[in-house]
Amino acid sequence: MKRALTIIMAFTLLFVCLTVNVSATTVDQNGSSASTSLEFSLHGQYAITIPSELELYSDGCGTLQISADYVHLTEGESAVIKVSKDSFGDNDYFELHHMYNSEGIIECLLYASTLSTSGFREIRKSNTETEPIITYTPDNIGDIGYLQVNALVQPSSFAGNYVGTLMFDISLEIETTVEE
Amino acid sequence: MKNKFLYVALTIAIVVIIILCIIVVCLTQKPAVNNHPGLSEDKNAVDIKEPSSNTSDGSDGISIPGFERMTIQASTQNVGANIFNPARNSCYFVAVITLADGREIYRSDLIAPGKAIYSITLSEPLAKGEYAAMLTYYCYSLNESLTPLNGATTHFILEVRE
Repeated sequence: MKRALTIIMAFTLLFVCLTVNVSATTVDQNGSSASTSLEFSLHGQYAITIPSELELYSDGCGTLQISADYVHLTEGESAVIKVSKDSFGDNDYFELHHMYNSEGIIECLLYASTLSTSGFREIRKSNTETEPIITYTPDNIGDIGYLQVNALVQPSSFAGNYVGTLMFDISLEIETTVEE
Repeated sequence: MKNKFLYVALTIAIVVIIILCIIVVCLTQKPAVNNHPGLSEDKNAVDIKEPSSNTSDGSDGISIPGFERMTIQASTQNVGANIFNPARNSCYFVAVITLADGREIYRSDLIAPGKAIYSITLSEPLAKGEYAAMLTYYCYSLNESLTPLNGATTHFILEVRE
């Protein structure tokens, strides 16, 4: 009876040990002295949240949001989020492509603002470098960038589902002062 | 009679423990991606060593991590790195490192959420110096169709040291 109970307890203990998470920080205490090992992990200087998908309503419009998960910036540094030139087609427009018909293309206009309902500026392939969606500085980490997509649906457009992916461009910029 | 009962009880206990272990292992496994030729989960991706605590949860977006500088060793193709897909994301990453002159020096396979790549093999060894580089995250849905999602390119300085 005792032997059986011992075996059951041993298996139970083994199972519990296998499922317990191991802590990254360990504290060893021996007599009067104690030591602590501390592990530091750097998870990048920033994390920007971009929309995963683009969803347009029946009027062909939709608004996407860009926000900062965390941004560690010092004075003079900024994180600039733009629409990548790779998002645009051969012309100046962002394009949605028909899922099954390669000839089905709907051109879209893009507008960016840091306000949800006003202040929108048009973004085209030719001005992505000078028209960021939002620029994060140490003072506005909580702000949100809005990107409005307006599909230019034509009467001749093929019926069906259209898809397209946006690429965003994120860079850290450091302000440089020129001494005279 | 008593011994026989004990052995039966012991056998049942062991079987229950084994079943529990199998259930735990199955629940912690990610779904396999097997219907999309050319893209599979990166074999070098491991669990993120210390998950970040300062990322928010519950939004539909994709968290794109970035950094100002990456330092690697010169004249070797196997270098240390820290490319990861935050656990809060609901998509795969394919990470591509490109130099400013257009040379692609690294491309990962699929990196699942909560996974990181700490060691990469460059397509060519680099000489000592500083390079303007880009890390592009191509994002794909977690389901078997691997639908392309929006992505992002982050810019950084690639510092190559002797």
